[in-house]
This record gives sequence, structure tokens and C-alpha cells, in this order.
Amino acid sequence: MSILAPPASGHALLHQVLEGDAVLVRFHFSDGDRPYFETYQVLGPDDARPFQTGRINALGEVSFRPNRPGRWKVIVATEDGHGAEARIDVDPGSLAVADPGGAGLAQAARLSAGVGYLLGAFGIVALWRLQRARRSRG
Amino acid sequence: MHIPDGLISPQTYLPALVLAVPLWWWAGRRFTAAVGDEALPRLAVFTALAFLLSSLMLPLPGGTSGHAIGVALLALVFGPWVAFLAYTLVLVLQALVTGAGGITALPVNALVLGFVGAWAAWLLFHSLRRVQPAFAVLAAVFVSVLLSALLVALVLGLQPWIARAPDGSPRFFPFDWSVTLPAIVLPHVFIGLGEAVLTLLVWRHACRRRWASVACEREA
Repeated sequence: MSILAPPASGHALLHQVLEGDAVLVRFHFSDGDRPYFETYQVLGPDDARPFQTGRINALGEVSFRPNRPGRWKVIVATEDGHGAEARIDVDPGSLAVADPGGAGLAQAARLSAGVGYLLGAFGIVALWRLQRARRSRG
Repeated sequence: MHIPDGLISPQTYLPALVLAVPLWWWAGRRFTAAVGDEALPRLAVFTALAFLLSSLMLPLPGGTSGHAIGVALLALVFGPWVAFLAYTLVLVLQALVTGAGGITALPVNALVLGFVGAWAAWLLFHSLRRVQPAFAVLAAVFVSVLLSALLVALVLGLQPWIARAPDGSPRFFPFDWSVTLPAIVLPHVFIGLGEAVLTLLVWRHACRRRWASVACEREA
């Protein structure tokens, strides 16, 4: 019987190398620097408990292998209060992903757009005031 | 220093929203009386300046980086209520356009940076301006930046205590006050000094042009 029993491996930590698709998210600050080795957590769709936690790698990247479709979140927090929440939509039946909040414009373009929106908003207030003054004058 | 979405709990941002909404409403009521038609374009330019100051990352000693806030300048020139409202607009645009801060974090950021920052600068400036106006500007901006940084550090460091996952791990921001206080407050000593000098230069220009509030005109 002892010859037929499987080897006792209760204390051995074994491993197996797998091939598979993973989601790879790269983080960077607006000045191009990356949050190397900062902590992150990956949350599955509607999960309160993290699916994965760890530290960002030396390339500023987080990779994980989602096991179900839905909106996944990768939350990064630095000690000085900076951070980001990347939302990644994983399609059913495949690992095709879409980032609904991803970066589309360069930082300079975003700043220019922001200034434009600000000035435009105050312009609208000025026009509204002008219109109101005209109405009150009759 | 903006707190982004995903780092603070609903236990934090929902009460902040309840507190911020009446303050926004009251600031909106004060806005029409405080900012005339002539001052509106200037407020637009100063708000755009605050947007840029609080968006551009600057390298700091120690290998980290940070950015100015810009609300103290708005408060000194236009008063704290207008500054609070204008800075909320800055925060909204930063959340939507540049990816800094966030929508759920907006009430906390608006209260900590916009409201406390503006009122701290304005009150301290008016307490000290009879002593020496330039010193009053420098001290007001420096203390305003440090106070906002301290509050951000306290809010973030509170998160591991008030929001935990079922296994006891922090659900949102993972670091407590022993980490957040030095990591956030110390870099803002440098930021506060730089912003104080920059604000003094712009404030003097505003005084010479008679753009600013009554208090500034008396000192010009």
C-alpha cells in the first residue's frame, strides 16, 4: 500500500508554467515618469475582495489574467496620495479588452483643452449676463 | 495633491458631498455680487492660471514630484467664496480632461483644496496684512498649501481604518498616517515656498493694476 500511495507533498510549493493571454496595463505620470514598485490591487467585476495584489514591476506595468468577463479595475496608490483607477472591460468569450477611460490625448493637448473649456465657460457666463442685462433694459 | 477616484471610500466622499453642496450653492449666490462684468474676464484668466499651476508636475528634492495648488491666489484677488467656486471648476475639468483627481473624489478635493485652502489664505492674509503685506501674502499661501496637504494626508491615512475588505485588508487607500503625513506634507513645504513666491509676484501685479479686492488696493 505504501508503494502505491502518492508522494506526500503537503509542504512543497510546486509550480507549473502556463501559456495564456493576460491584460497588461502600463501606468505613467503626466511627466512621463512611472510608478515603479508602487502597490496595486486588481478587482474583478463587482468584487469587494481583491483578485490580485502586488507591486508594479520595473517597467511601470501590471499584468493579470481575468477569469471572467465584465469591468475589471486596477487601482494603484502611491504613498504620497497619487493614484489611478484603470477600468478595463473584458468581453465575454475572449480576452479582447477596451479601456473606457484610457489616455487619448497627450498631456499638453489635455491642458490646452482644459484652458479652452475654462475660458469658454466664463465666456458663456459673460454672454448670459449680457443677455440678462439687455432683457432688463427692455 | 488631488485625491483620485478609487482611493477614498464612500464613507468619506458621501459626507463630503453633503457638506460641499450647500457651500457650492452659497458660493454661487455670492458669485454674482462679488464678480462684476468687468472682473469676469480676469477671473477667467486667473482660474486658467490656477488650472495650469495645479496641472504641471514639478520635480522636487528626493526624486519625487508635485504641483502647486493655485487657490490662494484666487482667494487673495477675488475672495474666498469666488475662489472656492472657481477652483471647483478647475477640479471638475482636471477630473474630466486631464485625468487628475476624480468625480467621486471631487467633494473631498473641493473642500480640502478649494474651501480650506482659500479660506486659510484669505483669513491669514487679512490677519497679517497690517504687519507687512508682502509677508502676509507669503505666509498666507505657505500655510494654505501646508494645511491642505495636511488634510489630504489625514483623509487618505484614515482610509485603512474605515474601509476594509472582508479579509481585513484595506479596501481603498492602503497606507495609514505614519506613511501619508511625511509623504505628503514634507514635499509640500517646498511646493508651498515656491507657490508663495509666485503668488506674491502675481498679487503685486494685480495690485498695481487695481484688479484685486479692496484689501489689496489699500496696500498697493
